[in-house]
Amino acid sequence: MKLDAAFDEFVVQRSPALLRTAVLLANGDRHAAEDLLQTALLRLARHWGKTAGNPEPYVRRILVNLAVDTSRNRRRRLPEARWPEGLEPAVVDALPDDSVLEVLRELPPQQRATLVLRFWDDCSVAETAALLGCSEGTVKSNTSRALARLREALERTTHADR
Amino acid sequence: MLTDDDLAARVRRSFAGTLEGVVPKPDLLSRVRHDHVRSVRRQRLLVPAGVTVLGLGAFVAWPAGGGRPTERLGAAPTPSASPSPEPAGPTVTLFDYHFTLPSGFVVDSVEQVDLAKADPPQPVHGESAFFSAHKGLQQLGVTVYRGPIADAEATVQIPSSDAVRTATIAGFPSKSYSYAAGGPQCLTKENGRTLMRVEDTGPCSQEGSETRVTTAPHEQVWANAQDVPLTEVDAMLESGLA
Repeated sequence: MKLDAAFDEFVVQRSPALLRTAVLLANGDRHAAEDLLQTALLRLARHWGKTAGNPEPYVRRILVNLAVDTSRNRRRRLPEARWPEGLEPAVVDALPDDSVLEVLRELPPQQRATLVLRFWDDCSVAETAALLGCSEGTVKSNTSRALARLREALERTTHADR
Repeated sequence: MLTDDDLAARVRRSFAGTLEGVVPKPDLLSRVRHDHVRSVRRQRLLVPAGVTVLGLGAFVAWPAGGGRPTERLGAAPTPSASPSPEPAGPTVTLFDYHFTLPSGFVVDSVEQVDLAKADPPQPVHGESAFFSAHKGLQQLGVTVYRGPIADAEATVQIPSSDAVRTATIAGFPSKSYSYAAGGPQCLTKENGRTLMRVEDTGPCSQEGSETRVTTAPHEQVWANAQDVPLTEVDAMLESGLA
């Protein structure tokens, strides 16, 4: 597929916003986010002829799927180091009130992606469901579970501070 | 008690803080264009003959004459004009297992990791080898774990809410479960515009799946698939582990 000026225009105009979404999906890792975005745009380039009419949903979906998949693969390849015995509760209790990202990092990839789409990209439940390829009920339950974990961690911090 | 709105506001604030100064590199577009040209050129070179690509302790081979299939996007399966079966996909070797992928899949990466040498150091040792592949927007990957990492992975609980299928694959016990992630992964055209296919409207499946096979006391083989029928995953594992 030969790329036209419209492709260049799309990349120039939309890549800042797409990169920000990618950074959040990649847990704040900018290098990983740049890789994700470049891969997503490369796939978009491959299918430009079919998606040129409305490329944004396509590239967003690729981005989300890549991020969720990469995160799962990374967990598989390098299982997350566990805290030495006895340290974990202290670390969690010492969580600063504004360190919400620390909690978000612990979320399963799809729950994190749900929060990014809902609360950063301001996608509706239906749009989020379409991007993640799941039902609206799954989006709602993922949001609810993620917020419950966040609430639990923050309330634990509040109690520890008293 | 923190309300959902309080929490959502905190999430937004934290996200905003993370994104300060995040801008794409100026050469993003030229890198994408460059990679695209190389990818098209490579695809043309690979089509005519059987090709073998060497990886890290693992290799991928495309069957002669099969070539790399053209990816189709948003297309519903169409009946083939010819009744002849489709050629098999590439074969990937992980340790001493040879997995032949379903027709049309393209291998994205093959890797082998010795966790004793991983950076950062890992709390569990052992080896893992894995590949990931795609066909259009379908995704398929297999990981073979050996040693302590296999034992550690074997203890990972399957989410209780999911329906688990217990079966025997190539004589080994296996468990499979599906989850509502990834989804249909296909697009549809309406009035000339490309749109995401909505649930229940198309031939695409709704779920991802994970199949865990215990092949030896300290060995696990896990297959992850998005939008790939479980029967195709089973067939690939069955022949690869036989």
